[in-house]
Amino acid sequence: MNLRTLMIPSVLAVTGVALWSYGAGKLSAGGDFDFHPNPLGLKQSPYGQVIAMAVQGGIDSDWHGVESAGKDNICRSCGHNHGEEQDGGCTPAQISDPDSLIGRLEAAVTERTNSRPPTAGHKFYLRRQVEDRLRMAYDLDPSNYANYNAYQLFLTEPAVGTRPVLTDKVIQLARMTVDYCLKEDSDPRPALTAASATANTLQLMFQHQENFTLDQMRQQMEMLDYTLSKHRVLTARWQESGDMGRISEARRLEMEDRLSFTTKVQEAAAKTIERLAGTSSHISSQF
Amino acid sequence: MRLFRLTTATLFRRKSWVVCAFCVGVLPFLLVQISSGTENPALLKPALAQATWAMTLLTSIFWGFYTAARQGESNARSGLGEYFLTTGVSAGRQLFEMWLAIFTYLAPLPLISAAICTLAASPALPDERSMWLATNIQYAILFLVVMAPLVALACAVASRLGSITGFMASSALAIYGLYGVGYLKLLGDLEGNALAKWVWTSSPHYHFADPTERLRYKLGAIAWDKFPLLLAYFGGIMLVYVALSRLVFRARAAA
Repeated sequence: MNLRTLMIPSVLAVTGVALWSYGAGKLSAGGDFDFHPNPLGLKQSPYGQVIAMAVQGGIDSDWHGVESAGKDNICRSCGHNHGEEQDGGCTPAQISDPDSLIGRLEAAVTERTNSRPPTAGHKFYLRRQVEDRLRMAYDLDPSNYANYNAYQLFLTEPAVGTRPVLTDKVIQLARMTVDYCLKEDSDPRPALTAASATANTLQLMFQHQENFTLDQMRQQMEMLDYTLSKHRVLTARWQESGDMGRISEARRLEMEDRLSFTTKVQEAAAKTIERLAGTSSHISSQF
Repeated sequence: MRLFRLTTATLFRRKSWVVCAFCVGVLPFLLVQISSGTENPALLKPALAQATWAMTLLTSIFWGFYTAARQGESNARSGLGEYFLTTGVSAGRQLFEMWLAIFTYLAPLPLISAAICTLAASPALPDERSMWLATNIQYAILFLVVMAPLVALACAVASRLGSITGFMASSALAIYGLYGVGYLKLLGDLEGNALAKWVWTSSPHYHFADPTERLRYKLGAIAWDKFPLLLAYFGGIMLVYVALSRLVFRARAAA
């Protein structure tokens, strides 16, 4: 290797390292190096929303695998142990054509032949799998009603969750969800998720009354009213423009169900605040 | 420029560039049909913009780096490099000509993405539209500055260690720079470990050249007074890779 072939790369490398370090120094000083990786921008994107919905199928089957209690209640159709309810709560995967070759093959590979119920450790492992998947689904689409609520349940309910967190973390998650959902000005469904997140926050406030003031609860109540009215406004707009026809009948019914549930929670919360205002020592006359 | 012409013609004849053109120019319009844009029309444009840039990234990594690695390996193994050496084309020149040929096919991809974003997914407000155009042009430039040296690196490493190693080296660097550095920060305790922090700071932070977040939230163009800093940063990385590629590249297989 002659001197020239060595010199040119060396000069390039030295200049490059100088520029690279200069740029890195400046950029890291400005805090620009900190970022949350989001491969191909999938999280919180229109594609992420679809994947988040697809992930729910896997969550279903994992959850189904967790269901068990007792020793003598093995379900005849799926092999799982449903406890006292016996086969009542069983929703085994349906094989579309059980007599065809593919149907028989599917039955052969999905049949549970282990009669023993899962151990406590195994159940914990499966619950953790569900929890991780819910976290992923939530990251992909925080505005999805089912993803948010299921994840919230895992965080707050020690019987299902594997990593219990403090109430303020759950409230923080709810706030993040509300902020994210209220950015949507076209689809009415995220506003419903925001309403549900607000209702969850209220619920937690009621459970830990000693840590929250009535004014804080009233603020949440106002937010709940606002999110539900936003949902109604956006729904009316979609109905007018005909965009409602784009979503399937099943999703529309799902939306109505969730609305009626959240409305009931809203009424109950209003009554609870009234009751608390009546019994509280720092009663405000606004209610 | 005989090697340039030969490589360009070979790549044209191989026709795999058609797949890239399809992925970047046509596939995004089909992909929006599986996005939630079908339910919420407000999301159709963002989905299109995201898909076209994601496709540019994927085709550059999979097609661009692989093609570069393949050319680098075959140049050294087939005796073509040796032949060109005897005609007076130096090893550095050979690397440059092959790189230029591949870059000719790669350069239009971000431009197609920018064009699709501007023509089919532009915001409605006029001032946002001009920002959108500027953002897309900026990212097309950054994208090329990031990808160009990685193409040369894939070619050079492959000429010495084989095409699979060449392809993996550049792809791994690109993916590490785009996402890995972020996960490193999230998973590792960087503050407590000076060495880990140094590794993290001196890693190539390619995520600065990834436009998806900026386009999604319509953050506007990068301030023009800060843009030269980004160019200097990626320019520095480019020079280091060019030097490294030149040192690693060889025109003839080891005896």
